[in-house]
Amino acid sequence: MWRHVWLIAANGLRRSLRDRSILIQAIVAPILIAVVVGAAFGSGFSLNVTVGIKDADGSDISEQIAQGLTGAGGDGIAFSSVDADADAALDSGAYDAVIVLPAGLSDAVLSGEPAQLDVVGEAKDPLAQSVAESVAAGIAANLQTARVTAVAATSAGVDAGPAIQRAVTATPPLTVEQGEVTGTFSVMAYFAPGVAMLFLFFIIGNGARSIIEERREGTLPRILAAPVSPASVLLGKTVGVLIVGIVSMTLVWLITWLGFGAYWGDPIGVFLVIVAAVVAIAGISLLITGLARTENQADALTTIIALLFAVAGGTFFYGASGVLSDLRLFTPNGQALAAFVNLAAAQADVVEVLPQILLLTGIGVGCAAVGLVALRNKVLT
Amino acid sequence: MAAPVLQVTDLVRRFGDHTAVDRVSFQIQPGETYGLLGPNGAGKTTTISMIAGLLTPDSGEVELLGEPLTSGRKSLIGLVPQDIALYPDLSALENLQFFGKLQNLHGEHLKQRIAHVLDVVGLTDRAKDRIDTYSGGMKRRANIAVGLLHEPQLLILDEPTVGVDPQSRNSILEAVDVLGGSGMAVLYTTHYMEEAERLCDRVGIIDSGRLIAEGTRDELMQRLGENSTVTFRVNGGAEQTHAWRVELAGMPGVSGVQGEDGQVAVVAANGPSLIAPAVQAAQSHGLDVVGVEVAEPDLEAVFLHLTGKALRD
Ligand SMILES: Nc1ncnc2c1ncn2[C@@H]1O[C@H](COP(=O)(O)OP(=O)(O)OP(=O)(O)O)[C@@H](O)[C@H]1O
Ligand SMILES: [Mg+2]
Repeated sequence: MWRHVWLIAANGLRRSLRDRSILIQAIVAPILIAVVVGAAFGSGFSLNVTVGIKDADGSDISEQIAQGLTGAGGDGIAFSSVDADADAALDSGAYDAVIVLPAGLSDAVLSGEPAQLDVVGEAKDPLAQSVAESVAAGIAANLQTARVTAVAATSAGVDAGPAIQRAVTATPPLTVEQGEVTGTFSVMAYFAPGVAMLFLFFIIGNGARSIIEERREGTLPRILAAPVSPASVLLGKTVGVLIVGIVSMTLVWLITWLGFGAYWGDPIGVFLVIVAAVVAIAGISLLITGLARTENQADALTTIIALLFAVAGGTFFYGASGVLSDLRLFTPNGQALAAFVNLAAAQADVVEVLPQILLLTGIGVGCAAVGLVALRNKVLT
Repeated sequence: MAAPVLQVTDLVRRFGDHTAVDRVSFQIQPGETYGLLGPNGAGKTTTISMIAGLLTPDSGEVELLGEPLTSGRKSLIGLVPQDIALYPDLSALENLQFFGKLQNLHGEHLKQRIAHVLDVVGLTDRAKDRIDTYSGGMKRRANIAVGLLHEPQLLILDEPTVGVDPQSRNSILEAVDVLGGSGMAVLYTTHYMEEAERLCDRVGIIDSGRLIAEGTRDELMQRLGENSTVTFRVNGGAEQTHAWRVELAGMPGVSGVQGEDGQVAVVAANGPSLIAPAVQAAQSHGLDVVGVEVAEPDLEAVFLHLTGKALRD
């Protein structure tokens, strides 16, 4: 069984390698487009994010946090306090994201409850969002320390006040890394994965459709006339497109990183997001192929969905706002881009992009399951 | 007696309300070459697809060497599909390697088998060229090579000579002749009666999904009985010819009429005695009969006799 799966996958790979258009779409085009766009933005592409701090608690502790932050801005990142409602502040356009210190924050910290910070303005701008989120995460971590300290101190019969004070006023981690943030985030690291994902829809779509094509061409019946199970054929095709997708997108990553200096962020995180994005795209392609009535219909649907997802996912409009940016997170491309931005701009690690990795993988596996069942019924009986 | 290589019993397959294969039964003995002769749409490919396990029958049974065909026993069959089923962007060698490995051949054995089948179909020199650089005849031969690779007990060839040049056709027929002679059982479908006559030990005549006659060439000829084929060459319009054909078909003893465009063949119980009234009828339709020939009986005539229509249009 697995030998047959591998043989079928390898046969697909061999044929892909022979197909110039796949090499161009999978590797050359994304790199070229990213390099051109990168050059257009110029090396002077700068981060310019204003994060608002809304103190809804009004306690000593929250005030100290807010004060600490507003003084901490630097290259391209500014913090300023928000008096109005957070949503109104965002709507005014003066802020890219707002961190909310919720009412009851200090009580929570002092009583040892977990502290929860909200970030409003998600999806308005993936970069601002990830900056704000990592700042919020930093504060939450500080508060966590404070909480643990408070619990420990209280149980030991010691006054917890000074320990809490120290933790709360500790500098949020992002301010330390600001220099790095602006220095390493490359516009190429945004456009390369975006464009690569767009083309992956076409390449992987081709791969998925090859099941139908092979039936028409007669090679699929011939495979099934050998002692090969239909399941091996479907698995072989799936493994084949996954490998094509992962290898090509990994190459785009390595070439833009090592060849053009576009740092995509933590390598393990980047690789896992690549894998998850490919799984999602492969699943969606199998679903389209399984549900479409004809090969041509599958082809047309793939093109429409690929472009729709690419546009809505923010592939072409870095930092778009309004309706487009709200749609962003409803697309696999947008989710993957949010993860890539988080990795590249906010120096996130794997754990921080785990939600997107799991979501993308889940989308992929779910769609693939439905698509493969439909394909089995349509093509293999 | 040993179990037949292939035993097909009451095979039925419908597409919608059209019955493509209707209670077809036959068997093939070891070493036998069996021909399935029938016109376009007769149900040959549908029958073969069910035998090879690619299509589920609505009812009926297929047994290979006395047992049903399970996925694991598919290697008993070597299928050569009607349409070229090869990867055009790969070479013949690469195609053979891929399909050979799927048949669980590997290593030195696979290499030897590939060399052997390339030799059988005469493609050794071109093995490394991509299939899409081949001529139609070469593609057909490569198509056959894949079916032979794993030394099947039963080789199924579905109209392997359709659309090839005479030279390739001849070399295909020779190869099949050799394979049949070597003890392999062969199921050969065709709508060329010459091929069936030349290659096959026994022939089944299939029409509209039904196996209407079966036997060796001589047995089938006996079905003709006293019937013989008379071929008339006539000059005249198509409309007149048509009217004349209709009249011929209604004459006593006539079991089939075929042909257009100046040449009309009639199978009749009393062939020679038909000539006079037929010529008279032709004249009454304003046609000129310029030649008459009483033909040697052949499978074409058998088919015409049994179905009242031509093998090919
Ligand atoms: N998948 C299908 N769906 C619907 N009808 C089909 C299908 N396959 C075959 N048929 C019909 O079944 C009948 C028999 O077809 P089949 O291909 O078996 O004939 P054949 O003898 O192989 O003809 P040919 O010499 O043209 O290859 C035809 O009327 C054909 O239209
Ligand atoms: Mg056919």
